[in-house]
Amino acid sequence: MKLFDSTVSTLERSLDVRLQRQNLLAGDIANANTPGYSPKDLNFREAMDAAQGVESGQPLPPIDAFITQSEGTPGLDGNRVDADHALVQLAQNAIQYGASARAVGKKLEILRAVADS
Amino acid sequence: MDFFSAMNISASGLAAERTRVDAAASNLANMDATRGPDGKPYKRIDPILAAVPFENDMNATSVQVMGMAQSEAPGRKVYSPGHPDADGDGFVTLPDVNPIHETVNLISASKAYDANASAIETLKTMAQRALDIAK
Repeated sequence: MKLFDSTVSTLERSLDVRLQRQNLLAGDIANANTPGYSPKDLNFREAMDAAQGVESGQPLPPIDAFITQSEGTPGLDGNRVDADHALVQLAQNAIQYGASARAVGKKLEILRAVADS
Repeated sequence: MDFFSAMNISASGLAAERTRVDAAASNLANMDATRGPDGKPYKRIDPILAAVPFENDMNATSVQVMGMAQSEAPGRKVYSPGHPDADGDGFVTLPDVNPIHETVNLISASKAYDANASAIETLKTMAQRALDIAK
């Protein structure tokens, strides 16, 4: 039984994936008026699934493989960004990041309680 | 990839939208200017936005203003014989600026600016949550 089991590393991965997704969504909003731009997103479930199979200590698979390019309806200038959708995703992703961060904090709190007892 | 790259991506969006506001403001201010820097009527400007990969990350995309396109449209001819820049027939050539078009651009740029600003705000909250882990 290790002190730091897979809980912390799974949560760590989820924080990584969430931050990466946040970057992509921020890029979509920044390019909301760039002609011909297609928004990018990240398949969170697939990225997390790929991390589950990795043994501890091994490098995690790169997130690049799970990036999706949206096929929404283009506007007159060929831009496919739906700003409302992107902003909602951005807010949701930030809340989920907060949840993961909170969970890591709680886990560490438990370990600290054990260490202090 | 860290918090500051996402902030910089949104900052590039802020800069691009501000350039659009600048261009619209310049076009509106000069819609009746019959003498530009070259002595000819003012030419409408339009920023060219391009999506560029952010630093070394091929996935995240920031936005960059590649330059200003100058309108080569002939402009409006208005009959005004007393005008100092009127031609032999009494017509003055005014810039090819449509104030409605510019106003719509102004609103769209301002809304997009707000969207980028709120993306930065969200990111700040996320960064705070990450800092709270160690609290």
